[in-house]
Amino acid sequence: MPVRLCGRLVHLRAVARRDWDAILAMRSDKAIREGIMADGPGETALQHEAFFASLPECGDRKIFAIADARTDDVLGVADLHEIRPAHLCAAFGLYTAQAGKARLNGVAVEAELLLLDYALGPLGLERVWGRVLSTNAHVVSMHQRFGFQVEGILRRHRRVGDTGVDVVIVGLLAEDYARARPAIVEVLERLAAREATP
Amino acid sequence: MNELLLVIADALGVAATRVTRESSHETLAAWDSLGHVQVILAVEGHFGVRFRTDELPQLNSVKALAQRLGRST
Repeated sequence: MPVRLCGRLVHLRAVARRDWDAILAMRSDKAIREGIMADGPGETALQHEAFFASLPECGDRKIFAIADARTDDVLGVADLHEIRPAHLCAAFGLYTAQAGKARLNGVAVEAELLLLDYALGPLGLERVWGRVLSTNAHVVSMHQRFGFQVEGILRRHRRVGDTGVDVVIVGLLAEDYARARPAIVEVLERLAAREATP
Repeated sequence: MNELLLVIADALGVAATRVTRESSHETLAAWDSLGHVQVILAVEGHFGVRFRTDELPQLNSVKALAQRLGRST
């Protein structure tokens, strides 16, 4: 049974065939490719199809479409990868489209909340970690609001153009998240109350 | 303008001196996705305004907010 994680603004659901073109467009966006540290200028449609065709066989990865809760349109992708049940940890990634509904406030915030709730709840993990380009200070900042801590720097780990860029390793323990989560939920509830007010 | 700067600084949880009329989501790390929600809610609450949902993504700088609120920069 595919996992479905439901929020007010978005839900995380299995990637459907109808999502592929939109996700390919996102993964071809230069800013997103830099953010997710994808190699090469862009994915071919064939590479894209092969990637999604392989997903059911990737036992150490769970990939979700971030979908608009009302229209079910795909707004982004969230995933857990390098899932290590024996070590109760996984890496995570998340990106949203650079325009349109995905830029509405709260989408990325709620998507990250849903993913972490799942990872540190039903999936039974104790630790989630990720990699962020050091040039994405606001992304590091947002993860820190969720309780992530900067655990290390991989110096000049990625090339962006002609420049070597550091990669920041962020890590989150279940207890860090438990402390940070209420403040995130409070902001999302205030946002929901705002949306409910005509 | 000063009032707006203070509201934004308080919403983002940063020292007031760090928020200037040139500040934006690009210059303040705290003005991340969550910070932007907090800024919007705080500005709406403080100034008694309601922004349209479709204009929220563009209100990501002090200047944009000030212009929207009708104050001079």
